[in-house]
Amino acid sequence: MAGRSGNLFSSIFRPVGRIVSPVWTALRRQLAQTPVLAFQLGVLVAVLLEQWQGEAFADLLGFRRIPRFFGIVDIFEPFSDLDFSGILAPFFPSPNNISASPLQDSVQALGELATTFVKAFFYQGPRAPGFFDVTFRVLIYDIVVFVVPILIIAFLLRPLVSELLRRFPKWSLILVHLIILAAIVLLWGDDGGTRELVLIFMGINIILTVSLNLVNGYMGEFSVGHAAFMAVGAYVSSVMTMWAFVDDRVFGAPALDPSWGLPVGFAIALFAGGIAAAIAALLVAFPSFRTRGDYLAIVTLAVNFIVQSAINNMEGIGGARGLNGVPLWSDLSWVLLTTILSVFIIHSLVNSTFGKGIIAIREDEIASELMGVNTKRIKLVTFLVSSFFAGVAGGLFAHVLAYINPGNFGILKSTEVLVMVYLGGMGSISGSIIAAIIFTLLLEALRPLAILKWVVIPLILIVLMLFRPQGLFGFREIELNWGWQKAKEKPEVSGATAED
Amino acid sequence: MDLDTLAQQFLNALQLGSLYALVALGYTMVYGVLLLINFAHGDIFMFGAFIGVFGAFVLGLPFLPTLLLSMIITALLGITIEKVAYKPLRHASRLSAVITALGVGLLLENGMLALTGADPRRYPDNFFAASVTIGDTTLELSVRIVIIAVALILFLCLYYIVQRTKWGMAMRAISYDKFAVPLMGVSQDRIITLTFVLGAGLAAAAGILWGVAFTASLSPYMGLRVGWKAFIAAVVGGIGDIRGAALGGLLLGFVEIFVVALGSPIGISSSYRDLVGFALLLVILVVRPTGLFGVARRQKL
Amino acid sequence: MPLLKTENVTHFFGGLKAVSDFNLRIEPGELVGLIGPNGAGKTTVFNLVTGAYRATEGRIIFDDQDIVGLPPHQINKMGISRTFQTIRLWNEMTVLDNIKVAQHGHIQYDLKDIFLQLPRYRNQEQAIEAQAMKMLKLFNLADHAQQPARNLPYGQQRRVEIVRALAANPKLLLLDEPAAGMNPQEIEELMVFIQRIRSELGVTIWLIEHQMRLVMNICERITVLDFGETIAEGGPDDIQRNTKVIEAYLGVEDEEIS
Repeated sequence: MAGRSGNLFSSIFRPVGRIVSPVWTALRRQLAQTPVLAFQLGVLVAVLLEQWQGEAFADLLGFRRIPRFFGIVDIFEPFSDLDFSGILAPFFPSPNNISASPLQDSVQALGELATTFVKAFFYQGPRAPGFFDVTFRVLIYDIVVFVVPILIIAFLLRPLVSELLRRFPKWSLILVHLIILAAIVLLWGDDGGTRELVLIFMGINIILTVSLNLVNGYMGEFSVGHAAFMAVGAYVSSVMTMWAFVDDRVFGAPALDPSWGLPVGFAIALFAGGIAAAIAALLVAFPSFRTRGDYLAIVTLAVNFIVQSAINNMEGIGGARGLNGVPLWSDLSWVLLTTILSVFIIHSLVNSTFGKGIIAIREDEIASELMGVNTKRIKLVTFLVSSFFAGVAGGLFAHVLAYINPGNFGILKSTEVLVMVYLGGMGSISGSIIAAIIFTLLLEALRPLAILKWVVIPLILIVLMLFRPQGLFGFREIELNWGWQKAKEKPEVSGATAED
Repeated sequence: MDLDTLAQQFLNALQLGSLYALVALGYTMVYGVLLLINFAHGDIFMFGAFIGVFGAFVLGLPFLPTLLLSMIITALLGITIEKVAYKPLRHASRLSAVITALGVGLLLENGMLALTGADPRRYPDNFFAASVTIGDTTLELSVRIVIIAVALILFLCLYYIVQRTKWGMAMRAISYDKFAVPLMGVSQDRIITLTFVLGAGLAAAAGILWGVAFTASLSPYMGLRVGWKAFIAAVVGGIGDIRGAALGGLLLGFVEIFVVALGSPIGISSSYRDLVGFALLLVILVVRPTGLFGVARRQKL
Repeated sequence: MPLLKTENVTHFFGGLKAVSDFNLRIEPGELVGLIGPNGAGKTTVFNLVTGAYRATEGRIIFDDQDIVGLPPHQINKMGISRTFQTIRLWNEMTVLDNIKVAQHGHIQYDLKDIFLQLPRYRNQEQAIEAQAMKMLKLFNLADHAQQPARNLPYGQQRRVEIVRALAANPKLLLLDEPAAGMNPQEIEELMVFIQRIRSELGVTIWLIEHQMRLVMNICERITVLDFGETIAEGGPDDIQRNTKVIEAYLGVEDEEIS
């Protein structure tokens, strides 16, 4: 990448770099030497800090409320009035709206757009600040409330934490990490509103992405119909919970005692959804693994349409009208727990010798079979495991929306998951997690742009593929300094972000 | 079902099938040359249909010139996409290019929506002159027959180019051995450009014909379903083979029309169209994994 | 009792007879060679024995069992392991993982054990890892354990491939042109290497090779194939004197036979 940057860039940035880079290098070394646990504690403190004084500080900075999602939702708000449709509409008129002089109309629209654009960047009015203004204040907020406290706490606690990490056995430390993670997520995110919803979708997306990466990244096949298995899981689990525990229009009075619904009933329903998705996958696997290459793509694509169309025609479960009244049981703790479990299981699989057979199949299927790897069985198992988790994610998805219809599980949903997989990089679990987080946040942040959101996202994807075709973390994992094993020689690691 | 309805349905099926076939051809050619599933192809089809709106309303052109104009402009779009988005990835993993294609598709359809707005569009009422005057006699032509005829002519032109010209032969050769063709003095880049020109041109023609056949269907998302379906048709035909794409497209058209036509009297709702269609295609793939015209290539040990 | 016995093994590619009436017995502990001009069908024989191709006719008896039609991974598990003419390591995986995955046939835990991290899983993983490291140490490759296979120099990759084949704990090891692309000194090392495998691990070895020096030096018995037909069989001295063999090689690789 360095070779690509032109002379202009280097002439501007080199002098700056000369001053900044020693500081940056030193900071990176410090960050690398600080174990994750110290950062976690820093984040925990920052979250508490925000709850304690965040509102007051936001008020001081001129925000009406605490910036949403560290401000990333606020900074694109100024662009919500942008409308590009005037530019080309005169050239592609509808019959009842034919423009007499399309060119003139178009230029006029372009002019208006430019004005809105400039305004959006700089100043829109006394009650609607521009992009730069908001971004500046958001940065201040984030630095004061999050970055600085996190760094201070992390560095202060480093000796203490390192000592703890040396003393206790690994399993107990993993538990501590998980507990603190849960504390952070629940303390910060459980607001019963946007934060919770976005975090829930983030968790679901993580499950979807990691599970699809198993097939597309680790195994090197190309499955494009992940949403089909998601749909199976969503419908099976919803039908179960609605029939058993909820008084609704479709299935009538609950068949079982509703008090069993949480946690036992829901857990069983999610599991059953996963199993149903795996069974569906079994039917798909039969034709698609007979030949290699792009046939899995075509079969999964067709299956995506078939599942959607089949549900459309099942009047008993709502058909095209959808299924309404699914209990709202996927709260943050359920999603967090399921996400952690899913990632853990898939991580264990690909790190076992059995699971490394999956990667061997990607590298050279024939050689794998000849060297003793039961390729047929492993391909099948991998596909089933992947689909199982898609089904579980579907179950969670249904129980957060309360209303599902076949349109939720179309090819567009599958495309979204594919985008996340390749954004993060094939064959990388940490890459998938990061990509799911980034993508979910991006969707949320760009919401004010309306349809433009779906112009910006593909653009980002295309540019990313052109400059980094292997994705952000293709075929490698982000290494974090957990502290319980000797850190590698290269100080490659930093807290939450790892760079190339 | 009486004979007349049967004939009508037959024409409907032929019309729908030949449109699918035109789109499927683009998929299959690009796949044959680049081994790339060009998921943006459905949106190229949409773009062609929109250029038709531009030609008909803004330039006031009649049907045939609009068709040509759209084919040319869309072919340029095809080349641009290839040069900007796919060419830099020719040596990267095959899947990066496929994902880029998905991205380009999303960009085209949403970009079109963002730039032109959501007003419903269709071609002018007198756009398609359904009569031909020869001497004193005026011949009323059915829209469907003209569509089928145009599709057939385009297919024959393509078949001639691919089978009989040097470029076409190079195009077929490159799908067998991409290293040998440059040795024969034919530039790989040119063949790829030609492939995109032909594929996009046919898709544009299909787009306009589609807009003529199904009047209220012009929207930025019109290419989505058609594109996916044409892709499946191409695979069923045996991806990489243009006869296969044509046959696959026709087959899909017939299945879709006749599931509805034969199904409704016996209580099968028309909403089963996709279900039956795709299931049937899956069955074909199970029986013949390489498609109707596909040849299994022996994997070398 | 022979370890491997082929009876009239014949294979067609389409209408083309690639191997015809191939008969061979290999006794436990032998070191046997298979030679012949290019395209003689040598690799096809290996592919038939390892199950990559299914023999059109004939029987292949390994350890008293007919293995024709068994899937390759099962034949591998029964004790036939091989290397390839062109190196086919799992390139992106580390050397260690290459060796570990080659023990796939011996894995006894299942998914449940992995997901619950049960002792059965942990113990076996430890055993697999220990065995892999032992093999790597034995053949002086332990230093490269954590490197991706593709990063190793060519000669090392060849060795890793042989070690990978040995990791499955085979009774019979098939080496497909192990010396291809090696210089004389590397070939010298390879000969020692192959003999060490036999003496230290007690593995029966059957190899295809064009480097006559290697074949004539270390093989006790040699089969010569030409156009799929066995044209000679015997000890190195018999083969070198056999007129049919000299004829088959004349003009093709005569410089190697002399």
